[in-house]
Amino acid sequence: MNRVQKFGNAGMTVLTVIAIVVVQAILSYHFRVFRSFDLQLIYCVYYGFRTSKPVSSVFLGGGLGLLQDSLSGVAMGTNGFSKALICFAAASTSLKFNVDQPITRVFALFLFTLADGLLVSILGLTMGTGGAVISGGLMDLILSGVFNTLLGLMMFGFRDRFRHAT
Amino acid sequence: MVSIAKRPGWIALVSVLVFNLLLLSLQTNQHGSPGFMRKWLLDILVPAEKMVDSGVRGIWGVWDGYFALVGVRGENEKLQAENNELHMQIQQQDEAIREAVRLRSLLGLADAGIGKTVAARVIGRDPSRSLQTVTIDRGQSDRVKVNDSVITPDGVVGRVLNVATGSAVVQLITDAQSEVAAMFRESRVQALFKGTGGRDLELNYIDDDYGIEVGTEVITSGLDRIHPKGLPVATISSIGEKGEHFRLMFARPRVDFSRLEDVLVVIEPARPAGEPPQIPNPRDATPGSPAVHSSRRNDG
Repeated sequence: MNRVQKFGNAGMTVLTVIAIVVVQAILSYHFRVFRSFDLQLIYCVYYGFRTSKPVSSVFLGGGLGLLQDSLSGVAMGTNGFSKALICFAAASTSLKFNVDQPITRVFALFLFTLADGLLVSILGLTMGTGGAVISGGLMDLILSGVFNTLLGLMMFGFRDRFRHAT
Repeated sequence: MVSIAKRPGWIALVSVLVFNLLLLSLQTNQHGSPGFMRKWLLDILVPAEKMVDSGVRGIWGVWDGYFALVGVRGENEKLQAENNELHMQIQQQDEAIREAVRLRSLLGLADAGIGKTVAARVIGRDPSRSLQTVTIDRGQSDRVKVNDSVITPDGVVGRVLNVATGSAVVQLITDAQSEVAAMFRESRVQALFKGTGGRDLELNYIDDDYGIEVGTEVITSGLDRIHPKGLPVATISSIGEKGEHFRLMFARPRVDFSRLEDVLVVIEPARPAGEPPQIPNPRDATPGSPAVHSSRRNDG
């Protein structure tokens, strides 16, 4: 891959990250149901699975989380910390497991959503801004996990179809 | 033993985690204040958000303006009748207002207006589940500051949590970390309402000897020095079983947050009665500053 291509890919990834945070904010505002989805987390897992590169995944997760923090009321670094860890875990998982299996994706998406919610809650409580689990309830987090899993599976399905087509 | 240089992933992870922890630790002493990084990121994100939002609104506008007009005629006639009735009521109340203004000036009371406000549009919502916040399209350049009160004609929306150049993040009163100093409209008993993170506000530690019942109206008391006094906040929606001394109550906010579109930010609250007048700083009146307006309301 030459240097121009590398820059192009990096620019595309940055634009995608910005678009995802903006789309999540707009959709959450216009449609109540989207508050249960976490597009940022789904993209983190997707990126980790697709690239299997822990280094770039960590930086992508950290950046995505910081962008999410800036639009949210939580302390800067809360989602940055959580998403970096999730992205790294997703990339590491893809190195050890076959992430093309639907069952692996279901478990990964659901468990990563729970882990993200718990991490953000713990950091929120540490910072005195409360936690998602405490304020929204554990059931909300589990519901969010189910929604993220379903949406993630659909997105991964599209990705598979696109990959096989090319 | 594997050399650490052969584990670039772990090195990257530790670096990013330490960076985020440092960011978090920097904010422990100045929680809620806009850091340079938050401001910078908001300035990157919000223009994109505004662009997408205007596109979405355009699509909604086409839908509302053309396709959703079925049955508008009947609704129009009904609204016309309601409008006539309201006109009558306004004429009747106009005299009462004039009398109240006259009496207030006679009593030498301070101006009960809410102060200078700037209109803002809601352009997005919290992209995470942690807090209940919305993003508005006004910021530092419009003289919006942290802790400014955000209201609508229906009632209190929340307070400004973070400010960037052209945008701000507003914490809704229903957020679990939000508190509003309020009082009951009739009895004037003061209370502190907390957000629940859901749709309602919660009120603890209130004696039930004040005749509070479902439907009792709650207005701001102004004691939190954020929200001007007398604005509608909520209506008591349920009252729990009596404990040893107190009852737990829930109140439904007057503002429907799912339909929040335009809000007012109180950038310069009116002076409370008895407070010495503040001399405005000429430096504040910078040329090109946004149009602001003073609004008045009738104290509840």
